[in-house]
Amino acid sequence: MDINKRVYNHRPGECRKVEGPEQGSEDFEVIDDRKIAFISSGVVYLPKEPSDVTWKGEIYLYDLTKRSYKAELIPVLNLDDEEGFFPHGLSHWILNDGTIRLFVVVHSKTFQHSIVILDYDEKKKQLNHVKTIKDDKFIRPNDIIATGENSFLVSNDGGAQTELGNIWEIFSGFYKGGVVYFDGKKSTYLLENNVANGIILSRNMKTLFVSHINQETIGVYSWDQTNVAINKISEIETLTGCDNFYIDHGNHLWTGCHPVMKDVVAHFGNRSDASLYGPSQVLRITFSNDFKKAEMVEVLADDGRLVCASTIAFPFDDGKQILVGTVGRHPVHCDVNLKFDFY
Amino acid sequence: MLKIVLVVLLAFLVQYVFKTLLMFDIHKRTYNHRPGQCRKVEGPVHGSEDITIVDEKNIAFITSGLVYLNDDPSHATWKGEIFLYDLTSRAYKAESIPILNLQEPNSFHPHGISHWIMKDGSVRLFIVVHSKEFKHSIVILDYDEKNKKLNHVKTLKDEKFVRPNDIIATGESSFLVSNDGGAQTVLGNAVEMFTGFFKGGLVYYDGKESQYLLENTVANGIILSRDRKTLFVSHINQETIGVFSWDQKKVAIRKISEIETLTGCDNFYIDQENNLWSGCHPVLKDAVGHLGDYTNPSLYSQSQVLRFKFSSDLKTAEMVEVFSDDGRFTSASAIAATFDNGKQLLIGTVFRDLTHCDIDVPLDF
Repeated sequence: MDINKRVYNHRPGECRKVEGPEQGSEDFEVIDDRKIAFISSGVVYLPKEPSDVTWKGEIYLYDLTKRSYKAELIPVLNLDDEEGFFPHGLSHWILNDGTIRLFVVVHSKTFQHSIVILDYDEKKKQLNHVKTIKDDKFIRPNDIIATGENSFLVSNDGGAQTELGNIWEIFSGFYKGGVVYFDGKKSTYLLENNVANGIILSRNMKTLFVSHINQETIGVYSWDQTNVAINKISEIETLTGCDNFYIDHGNHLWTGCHPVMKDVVAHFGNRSDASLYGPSQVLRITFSNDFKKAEMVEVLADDGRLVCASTIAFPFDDGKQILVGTVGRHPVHCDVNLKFDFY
Repeated sequence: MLKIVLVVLLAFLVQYVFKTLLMFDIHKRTYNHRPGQCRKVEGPVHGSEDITIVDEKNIAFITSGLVYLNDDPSHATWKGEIFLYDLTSRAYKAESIPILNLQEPNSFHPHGISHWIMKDGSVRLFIVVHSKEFKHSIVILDYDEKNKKLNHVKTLKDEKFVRPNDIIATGESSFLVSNDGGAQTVLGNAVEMFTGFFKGGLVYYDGKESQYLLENTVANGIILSRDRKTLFVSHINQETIGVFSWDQKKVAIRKISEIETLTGCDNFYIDQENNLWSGCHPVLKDAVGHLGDYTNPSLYSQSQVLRFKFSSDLKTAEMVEVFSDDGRFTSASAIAATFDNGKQLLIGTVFRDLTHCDIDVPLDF
């Protein structure tokens, strides 16, 4: 619970809040060649009562070239269940015709889970519903990685469906999460009885990174999509609860972390209380060639008053800017006045 | 009855072990970051434990070659030195300057340092000095600017200089000095740390006699605000900074607040805007390992530079972490001082080299 830890604030440059997503910016999905990012907002997580959920689930679009500090809400059309759309993890795939397809982990107010596939209409700036997938292996999905037009990897960050059940799972250490591969028709377990929060593949799609957030480690696995198989390479100890991931052009892993778990738990327990906030941390992690070791640079740390409970971070504009997403609050856009390669 | 006693004893033991493990920071680590480009400064290799910046002359004096809780005098194979660093030339090279007329040149191992500008404009240095046998004194030196050397003025010994660490000049012959504990051996210090019965404190010397201002505590780094009305004391083992008002006429302090830092802050520097800067040891277990065998280059410990901005009533403080290193670049930071209108930073270490950084990031949010 990190009772002996605290955050010491520092920033890589000037930072500003991004207007628009007030109820969270839990995951970002960057589309490099279009210089845009999609933001999932309004995540619902282990709700006590459906009536506690007073916000809407939304997808925002952010132009990475403009420094507008304002994200645009884009409509999601033809959903089966509009009231039950609360997006969590995001991923994308570029279709053969150049269309962006979004893969979204979705929860309802009653915490039912599905994977929603949306195609982005660039001209009209809207998302068109393609498919909603439910599967008994999507136990408590958190993050997703698109591996094809209809295939993806999805993480389960636990098995419990209630707050009390989750507390029991955390304290007992008997985790029921894992990683599942869906090939377009059926699903297969790759990891079971584990905690898997953020997941991402290296740019060459050969290495899988899994956030074992409750153990404060990052698992590194080789991924063989043809054989639908993973092989464990290493487990990197971080001593902080790293959430979602981004891989940059230099193959550095970027992540938003929760360095003081006790404060984050208090914040999550009462998300709408503005006086409660959780500390944030952005790490840039550089792996050795054999993936057995990693160097960590802390790019940003905040006690929560500017960036509240960071979950994702990524650089853009040749590393001169970063965006930081949070569980239940607005994202933050920072300049980066520094170099991060020390060794 | 016996069961009750055993249960109470067990409960005490459990909470004692828990507190001790927390004190040693077993679940902490550093994550590296720098405020800009950082480079090593050539010159001091056996420590750069304290720095005093002379604003008027754009120079810094750096103490090097500290001896601390030295159970074996023959172990101290290095020299104690004072280095001079020009803050205007970005030379990344500090110059060792000769110290003339010391009573015991081989027993000069400097620790804390402070300065006073004399009426004629010359710089007087006040230095906490230990010998190889860990005997303590306060040495006063005058800086001969023309010849770039230090002339010995006086050596003071006093029974109240129990285990002196840092010093603040308050006049041509007066100063405040901190004692960071009472034990004179490694074992004694371990007992002091584990029991929590600290025998350090704060002493004021008026030029003739000394008196206690604080007793039975740990006082590491000490510094006065620029208006000389507020005293900051590092209670390093408790991971707090004590803030006191200081009345020099009445030789009296009054406690204002105690800021919890959750890191072992060592020496202090007050910048032109009255921000407090400190070099800290964020993970005590590694610091103890490194400082306990400081000639072993494979042992190093984390460094952290914090800048504190106090509220007007001095009861709360905002902390910014300006620099953080796992120890491979900068090992066991003890002091941090900023200059060039806050655009550059010097970081001194207990037993290793000096680091000079640019500051390219905003620190006021």
